[in-house]
Amino acid sequence: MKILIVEDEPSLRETMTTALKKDGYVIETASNFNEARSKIGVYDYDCILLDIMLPDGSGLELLKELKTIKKSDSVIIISAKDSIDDKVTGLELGADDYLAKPFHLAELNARIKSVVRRKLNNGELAIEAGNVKIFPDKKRVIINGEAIVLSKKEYDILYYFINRRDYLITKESLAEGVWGDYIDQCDNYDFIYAQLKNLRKKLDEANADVEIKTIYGFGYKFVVK
Amino acid sequence: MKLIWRIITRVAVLMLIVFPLWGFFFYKMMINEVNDETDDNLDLFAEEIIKNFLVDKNNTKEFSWNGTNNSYIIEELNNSDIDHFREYSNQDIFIPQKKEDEPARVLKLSFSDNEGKKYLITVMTPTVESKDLIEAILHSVIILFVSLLSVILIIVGLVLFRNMRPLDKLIHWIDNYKLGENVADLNNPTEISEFRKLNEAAIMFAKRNEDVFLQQKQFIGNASHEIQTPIAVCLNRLELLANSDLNENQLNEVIKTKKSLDYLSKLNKSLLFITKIDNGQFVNNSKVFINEIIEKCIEDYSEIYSFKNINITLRGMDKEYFIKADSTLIVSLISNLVRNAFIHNIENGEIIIELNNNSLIVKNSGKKEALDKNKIFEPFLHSSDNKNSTGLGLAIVKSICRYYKYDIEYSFVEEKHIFSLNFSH
Repeated sequence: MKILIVEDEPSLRETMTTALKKDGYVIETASNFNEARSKIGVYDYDCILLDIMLPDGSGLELLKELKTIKKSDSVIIISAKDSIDDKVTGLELGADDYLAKPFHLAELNARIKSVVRRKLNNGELAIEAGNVKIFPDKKRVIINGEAIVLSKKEYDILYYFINRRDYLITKESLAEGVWGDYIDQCDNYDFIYAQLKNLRKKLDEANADVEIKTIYGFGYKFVVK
Repeated sequence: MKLIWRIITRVAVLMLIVFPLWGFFFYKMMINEVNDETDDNLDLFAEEIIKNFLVDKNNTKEFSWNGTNNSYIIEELNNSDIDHFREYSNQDIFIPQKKEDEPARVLKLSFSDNEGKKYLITVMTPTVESKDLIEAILHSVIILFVSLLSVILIIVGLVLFRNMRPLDKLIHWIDNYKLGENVADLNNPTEISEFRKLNEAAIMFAKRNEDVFLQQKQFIGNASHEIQTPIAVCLNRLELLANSDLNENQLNEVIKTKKSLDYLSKLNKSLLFITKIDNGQFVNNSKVFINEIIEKCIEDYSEIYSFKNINITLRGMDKEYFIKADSTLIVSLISNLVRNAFIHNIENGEIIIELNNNSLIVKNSGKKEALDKNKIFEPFLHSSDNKNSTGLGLAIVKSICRYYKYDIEYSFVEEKHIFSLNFSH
């Protein structure tokens, strides 16, 4: 899987590259508008991570160009602006997703997976981890060939983890990802433990070969046994 | 109280004090004058009688009732102690023609004839006429007083009203001026230099205010914007570090650092959010159903704050209520208010949410003392016991309300903190 990172900030470019390489992607980078344009013109990528504000042009222009030369590369816009306008314009111009800085690398990875999956399978196919399959469109979960019933929150948690496999997830990130952005002032995470307990129980009962490991004091890690 | 009414009442009060004093002295003087006149007449009358008496002691008859109601008595004084006696007084005397007592001015005067005999003459003149006169004067003074007072007040009022017009206009302009909106033209020509200066000062301050506000807004916007990328880099590096082979202590440090950075990132996002609201960047208006948002918020937060065991009462939720606005902002507005009620609540506390026509009221138990009404919506007003709070929630609420011109008010009644939001504007 080939990914092009268009990002002018070297440090960010470097961390993104490192993280995505670890996840098994082939990474190329471009640090400015012209470099990105020439790369896009020559190569095909599965996914392009596009910073909007580049020193010598706008990422949105690049996006337009991409569409005029009828490339079907998936594009995730990455912007420090977090502005609705950019988001709307970007998505209208054919971007597949929008991620505001600062973001978690686990989040970036999840977005890339989801975008690529949508493109390859028109969103039909399941996400797999071990013997666990999730059909995001129908919100169905099949473990070991059998459908299991999860509550909405349990499903959301599983979906969140499966997209962030092998990443250390703090309970704050999990709470924010599943319960929404407005959770930031909470100092008691009992509600997570209750949901996790139920989810683990259901996974165990269905003989799933995946595990949500507690990294004591830090958070969780979703792993295939 | 308006200045004009203050001036008019002050003038009225002063005149109510000064005019009666003036009236009193005026009245006193008139009376003195009248009495003087009466006394002079009495003197003349007495002199005439004495002259006649001295010429012919029996020829005084013609003076007794000479058309006036004056009368006199002459007595011979045996007691020779009295000498040069003259006394004026007011007495009731009997008038034979009218057969009744009437008030009169009386002069008692001693005199002696050429034989050295001493007499006392008592001359009396009824004071009915002068009393009438005095009454007439009193009436005139009162009428004059009342009419003068009202005329002066009316004139003062009219003059003030007319001359204060530029000030009224300026105040109206100031009332309409809102920070963050364009400074409207102040078309207020006046020849009065004080008002001209006020006009100029008002415009100057408004413009300067506007500049500072704009600069501050831009600064906050730019600063938070510039901060995003370094935060992103730090977060990502820490994430990489956390997912590499670290021992427990190192991991602990990394996670703690990441938490602080997450907090910083949230703070920054909130600031950017406020900047965007203030810049009016939310324009995607659609029908937003308040009921739905409240129910969703309650569902989420009751789960998150289930450990507080809060009793929630919803009222007026059966009727569907919607407004036209940007849903991002309304969701943020309501969830901030509802979250606020959860965060600052006590264990086994209570939340009451009422949705009426055009208004949303959120009541919650919490600290048993009122918060400072004036500061509660200011950014970074932390309650010391909540270390995770960014202190921007209510500032966001305020910004959204300012943007849509909703009314938001805080009050503390029966140990409940109450936020009343009025959607009509």
